[in-house]
Amino acid sequence: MIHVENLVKKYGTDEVLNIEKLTIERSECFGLVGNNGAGKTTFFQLILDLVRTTSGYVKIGGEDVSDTEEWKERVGAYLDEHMLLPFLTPDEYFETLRKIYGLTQEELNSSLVRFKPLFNDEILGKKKYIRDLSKGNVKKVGIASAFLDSPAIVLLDEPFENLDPTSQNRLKKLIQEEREQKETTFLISSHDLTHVTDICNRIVLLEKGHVLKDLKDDKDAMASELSDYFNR
Amino acid sequence: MTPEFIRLLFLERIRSFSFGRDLISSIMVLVLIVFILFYLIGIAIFLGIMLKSELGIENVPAFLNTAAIYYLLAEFMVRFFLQKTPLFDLNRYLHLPIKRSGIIHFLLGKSLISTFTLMAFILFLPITITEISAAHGPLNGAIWITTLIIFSISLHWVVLWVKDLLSRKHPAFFGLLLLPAIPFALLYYNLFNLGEYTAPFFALSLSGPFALISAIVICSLCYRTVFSDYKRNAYIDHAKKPSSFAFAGGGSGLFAGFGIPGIMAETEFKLILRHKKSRSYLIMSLLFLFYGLLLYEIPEPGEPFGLNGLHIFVGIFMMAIFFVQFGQFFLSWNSSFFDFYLTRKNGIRDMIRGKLLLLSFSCIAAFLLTLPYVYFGWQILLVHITALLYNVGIGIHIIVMISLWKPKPMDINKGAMFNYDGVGFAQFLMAIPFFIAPYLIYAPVALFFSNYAALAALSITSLIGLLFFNRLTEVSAGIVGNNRHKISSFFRRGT
Repeated sequence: MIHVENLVKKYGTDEVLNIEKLTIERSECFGLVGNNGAGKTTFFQLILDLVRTTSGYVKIGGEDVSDTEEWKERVGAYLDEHMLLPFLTPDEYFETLRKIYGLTQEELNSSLVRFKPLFNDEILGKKKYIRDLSKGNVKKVGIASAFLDSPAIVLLDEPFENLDPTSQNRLKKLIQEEREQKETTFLISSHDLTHVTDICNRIVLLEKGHVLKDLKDDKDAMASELSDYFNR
Repeated sequence: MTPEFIRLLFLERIRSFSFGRDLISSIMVLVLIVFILFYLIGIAIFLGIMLKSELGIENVPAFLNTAAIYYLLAEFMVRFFLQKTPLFDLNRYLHLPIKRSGIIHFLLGKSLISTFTLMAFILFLPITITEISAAHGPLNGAIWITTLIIFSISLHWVVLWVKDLLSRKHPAFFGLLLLPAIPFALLYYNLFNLGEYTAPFFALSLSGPFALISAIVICSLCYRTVFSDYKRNAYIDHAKKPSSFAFAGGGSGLFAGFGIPGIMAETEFKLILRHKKSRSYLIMSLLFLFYGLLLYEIPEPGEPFGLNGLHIFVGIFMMAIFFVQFGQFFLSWNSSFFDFYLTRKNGIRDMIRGKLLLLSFSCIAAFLLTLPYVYFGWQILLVHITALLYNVGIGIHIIVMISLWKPKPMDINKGAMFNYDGVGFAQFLMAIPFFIAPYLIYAPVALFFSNYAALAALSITSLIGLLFFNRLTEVSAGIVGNNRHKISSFFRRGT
């Protein structure tokens, strides 16, 4: 699904990311962990072609992301609040996305209905601009927009951050359902090790831009390896 | 997608926190544009008559063919200083299934909505009808003016491209902008007339479509260039180059001995040096120090120095240009870390005193740098001392008070690409009260007594202002202090 080779990103002379080879399979839930400055967000930005690669490439379904833009129809992402239009209400924002994605009103509604528990009646039908929402609610709007049009791949940067515990659990449930029903591939970065080990079947640990560990399937082994690393 | 973009831009505009302030400056700009349009129309109508009777030109079309290149060069320079660069927040759209090229096409297309697009048309339509069409037929007249308009639009793209290049290159490249002035200088001294070499091309447009076709080709090449440049740079990491570290340690020690406001002034100075936007203001202010060269005149031998009302304006302008521009966004520079000041004891007061200290320093620095103008007459010194006193004694508070009206949050860390937020003609207009105020004192005294008495009167008033410097600072600090909750909640919500 996603294939990365010799991916290097430098800012000036500082190398912030260097991944030799990495392949993410369909319906995988790929967790990305690492301390601050490990390169998690940069990796996501490179996958989304938001920043330019210094060398190497990212391919989604065989397309180099910097060459074509068709892949954008199959990828939903929420990295930070800059991806939203802060001067719209959530309803208006979803309506704008509906037009961009070319969905019908029913399709939009059926996509948003999944988020009813997560939204907790604080998002839709309110006369409040996105810029006036709390950080947690802004995050919910962003996540819901990443799920729109049921993309094959969803990238979420720190999705649990700023969410209350109830919302965190609801989000986890949502991600798991989506994987089971639609075989959606998830890429999730998080500092919350419990949450990522709960939902992800594969976890990559980044350190200073390099892949330090690539852990698969065995949840207990994952948990203990990660706990060893972060308790140094 | 285009209608949707237009709708979104409209919503963003009317829902902006600073809508009121933006609206007023927009109205002022609009009034100015209407004024300029009338002026252009006036020139255009009388252009043919003026050329014939005043300059005694018989073959107007031939003259226009020669003059066309000079018109275009002049338009380029005017465009460069006044034309706005399109603004767009890429972050919000890049991850969506919208083509990057579509965004750029929209952005560039939108930029065409500008007075400049009409300029060539307005200016040359009457003369095309009365002179060119009369001599060469309406079809050729139409081709001639269309060719010129298409060149004018080519200039539009070139200016966008050059501005974008300059935003990433060393500011010294601004010197290259003097290049278009060279043909004018050569013409003025009768050394070389570029127009004679370009005239045949424009004459060609009077006898067939060839010139028009090549103009269209040139225009599309210019568009292609600016388009691919914008597209190549339509990434969000554009500004992350660590070049700003070159300014580490800037300003240390300059404000020692001023206590906590001194420390605030020093951090503020670092802020100025380390952000592209403020740095470009600083460089522009340095360029404006040469403004006096254009307007000051050396008196003829034996003649007395002809002091007039313009001198004081030039003096004030040269000394104040930095703080007018920087001070416009008084609090906005600190919008992303405004809470830093709120959570400190006396933080707001110290910050404002620090800023005023810095702004006063900038005036004194400009005063010292402009001392060589004494060459034009020692009277210039009187003018500059008065200007300095006015700026520090009164002007500074006018700018600060204006800026405290609905301060606007500003993201100074954003890259330069597409971020010309707030830079524009409107900012100059907001400063009008600042430039008018001195004349409230100067003009009546100059009228009834003399220009020197007017200088003295302005100096004395300014000195009184200077005596109340601390009191006035407290007023500004009080305004911010009383509105701190409103201002900080504005700032916390971001742009």
